[in-house]
Amino acid sequence: MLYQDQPLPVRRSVLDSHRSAYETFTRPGTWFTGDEKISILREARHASQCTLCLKRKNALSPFAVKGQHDALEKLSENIIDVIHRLMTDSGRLTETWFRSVIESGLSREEYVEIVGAVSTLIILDSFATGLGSDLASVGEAQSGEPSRVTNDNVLDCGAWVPLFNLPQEATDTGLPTAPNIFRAMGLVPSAIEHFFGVMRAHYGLSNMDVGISRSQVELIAARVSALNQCFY
Amino acid sequence: MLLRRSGEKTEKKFNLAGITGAKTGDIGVSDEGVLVALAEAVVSADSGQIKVARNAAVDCIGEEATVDVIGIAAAFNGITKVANATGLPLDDATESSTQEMRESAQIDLYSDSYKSKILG
Repeated sequence: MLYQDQPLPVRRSVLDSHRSAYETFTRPGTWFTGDEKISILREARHASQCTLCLKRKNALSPFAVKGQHDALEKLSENIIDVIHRLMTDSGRLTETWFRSVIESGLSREEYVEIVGAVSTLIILDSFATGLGSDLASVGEAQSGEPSRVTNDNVLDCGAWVPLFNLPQEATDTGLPTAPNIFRAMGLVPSAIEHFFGVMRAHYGLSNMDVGISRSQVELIAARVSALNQCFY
Repeated sequence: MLLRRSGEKTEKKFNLAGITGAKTGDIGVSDEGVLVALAEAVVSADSGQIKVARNAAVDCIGEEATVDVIGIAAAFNGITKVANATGLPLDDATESSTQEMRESAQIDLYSDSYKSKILG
């Protein structure tokens, strides 16, 4: 049971979203089976122990250090590289690197699904670690094949991947109804659902049920974004 | 950039460059010391650092608010990975309205074009 031994009060909406996210991890996705998804998550949790990643993190440019990752799972090298760099040095990813990943044979859809799964896990694990709780186990994979459903309703908007083509009306938050961050994983709508199912329980642009002020919320968001060298 | 917006709504001016370290000094948000320390600890994933920051936050803002801080820090630790891994550009309205602020806070140093130039 998630956060059962946690003395601090975890909101019901957060708890429910985490339960649901863990359940989704075990199901076949759009481009990966349940087993493959769980391997991706195990590898993500293992990345902080990779010697190559540590060397790259300490180098002036992570692309100047060559070598092999200390991998835990039997995943292809390009998938391991995406997972490890995302986990350990995402602030220094570049479009040149992204293109090399795609040229190595990973489809943009597979890439987006990995990014979605790992980023969702990062929220869950950061929250658990922040509370001082143990990381939850991901569970057993459910059988079945990936749906391989493509979404053609996407547009090139200057990102590395095309974005979901959604309405862009202005709102009083200063952001459009569907900000770019929501559209970023448009190639794999199930990844958006999975990720934002958790994200929305933690943060909203308006009507947040939290015990701190809006300015305090945005200060935390801004500081974490700066630490992660995030332009968006 | 939403902190800037939040300041506009409450007619408060924040030292946004203090968040990125481009300038020193207080940012201008209540209890910013404990909030920033806890946010930084969550990103570090260092259990010792987290424990110290979490206890300080509980003493200062209470248990519920502390969990909320951890939740927001965790959420942004995840969502920034999505943005970083997709080379996401700013939304049009944000791009045009934040140019001066991005320059003063040195946020443009996080742009894909700058990273590509210095990292290869």
